[in-house]
Amino acid sequence: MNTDASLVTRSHEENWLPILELAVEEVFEIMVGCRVKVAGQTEHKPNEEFTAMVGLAGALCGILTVCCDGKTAGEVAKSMLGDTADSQEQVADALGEICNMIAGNFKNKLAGTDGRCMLSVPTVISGGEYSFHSLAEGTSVEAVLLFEGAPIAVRLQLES
Amino acid sequence: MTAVSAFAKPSPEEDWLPILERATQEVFEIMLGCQVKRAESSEHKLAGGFTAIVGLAGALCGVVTMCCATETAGQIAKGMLGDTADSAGQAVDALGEMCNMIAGNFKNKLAGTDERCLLSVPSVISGGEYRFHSLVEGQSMETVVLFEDAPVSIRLQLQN
Repeated sequence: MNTDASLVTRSHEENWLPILELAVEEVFEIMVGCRVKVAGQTEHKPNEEFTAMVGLAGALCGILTVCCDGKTAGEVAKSMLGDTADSQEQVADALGEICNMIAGNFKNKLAGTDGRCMLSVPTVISGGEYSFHSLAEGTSVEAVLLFEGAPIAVRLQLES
Repeated sequence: MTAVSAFAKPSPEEDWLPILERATQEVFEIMLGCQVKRAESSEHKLAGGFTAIVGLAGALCGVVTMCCATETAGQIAKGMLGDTADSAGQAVDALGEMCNMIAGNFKNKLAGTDERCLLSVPSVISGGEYRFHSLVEGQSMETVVLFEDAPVSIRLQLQN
C-alpha cells in the first residue's frame, strides 16, 4: 500500500466532504436521472441491506462504500436499467456501478491524483444479517443523500 | 480501472492457481506457524461466517477474498495474537491481515508486477446471512485449505 504522504496530509487538513457530495450528486444525475438531496447524517441512517464497495490504491489508499436498504437498491437499479431490472444480480450490478462511478468521479476532482490513484473492481454485499468492517485507520467522511425519500450513505475511509 | 494488458489476465497456458496456493501456504506458515493442507473445494461449502476482501488495482485489477466460518476466524486470531484474542474485532483484524498478506505475497510472486499492481485496504464482512457479489468479469480461481480441519477458501477474481 504505497500511499502518497502529501495526499494523506491533505485528507487530514482539507474538508473533502463537499467534494464527495458533489461527486455523488453528479453521478446520480447522470446515471439515475435525478437530483438527490443531502440529508443530515444523524437524522437518516439507512438499513444497510446492500453495501457496494470499491477499493482505492496508490496515492490514496482506502475504500468507498455505498449503503442502502433493499427497496432503495431495487429502485436505483430500475432507474438505471429499466423496470424489468428486478433480479438480485441486476440490483447488485447497478449499485456496484454507482459506487465505482462515485469513486472515480471523486478522485478525478482531487487535483494531483492523476494516474496515481487507482480503483479496484466493485463488490456488493447483500443480506439481512451482516456487519461490514474496514481496516482503514485514517480519515473518514460520510455523505447521506435522500433518493426518493430514502437515505443512501456514501462513505470514504482512508488509510493514514 | 486501468489494467496493463500484459497482466490483465493469465494467458490460457499460464496457470496461476499453484502460485496462489503457494502464497497461501507460505502466509499460514509464517503467520500461524502451521502447514496447511489443500482440500477439494467441492467438498467444503461455506455459508456465512467471515469474508475478508482486498482489492487489486493497476496492472492487475480484481479482488482476493478469504472466507471461513466464525469459529475458524477466531482460531486464526488466537494463532496470530495469542489465546487472549477472543473478541470479534480481533478476528476481523486477523482475517483482514491474513488476506492482505496472501494478496501481497501472490502479486510479489508474479514477475513484472513491481509497483504496477497495488492493493487496497482490507475489509471484512461477518454475519450469519449475506451474499457476496463481485462485478469482476474475468478469470476466477480458488484454493481451499484446511486449518485445524476446517476449510478456509481463498479466491482470486481478475478483471479481463
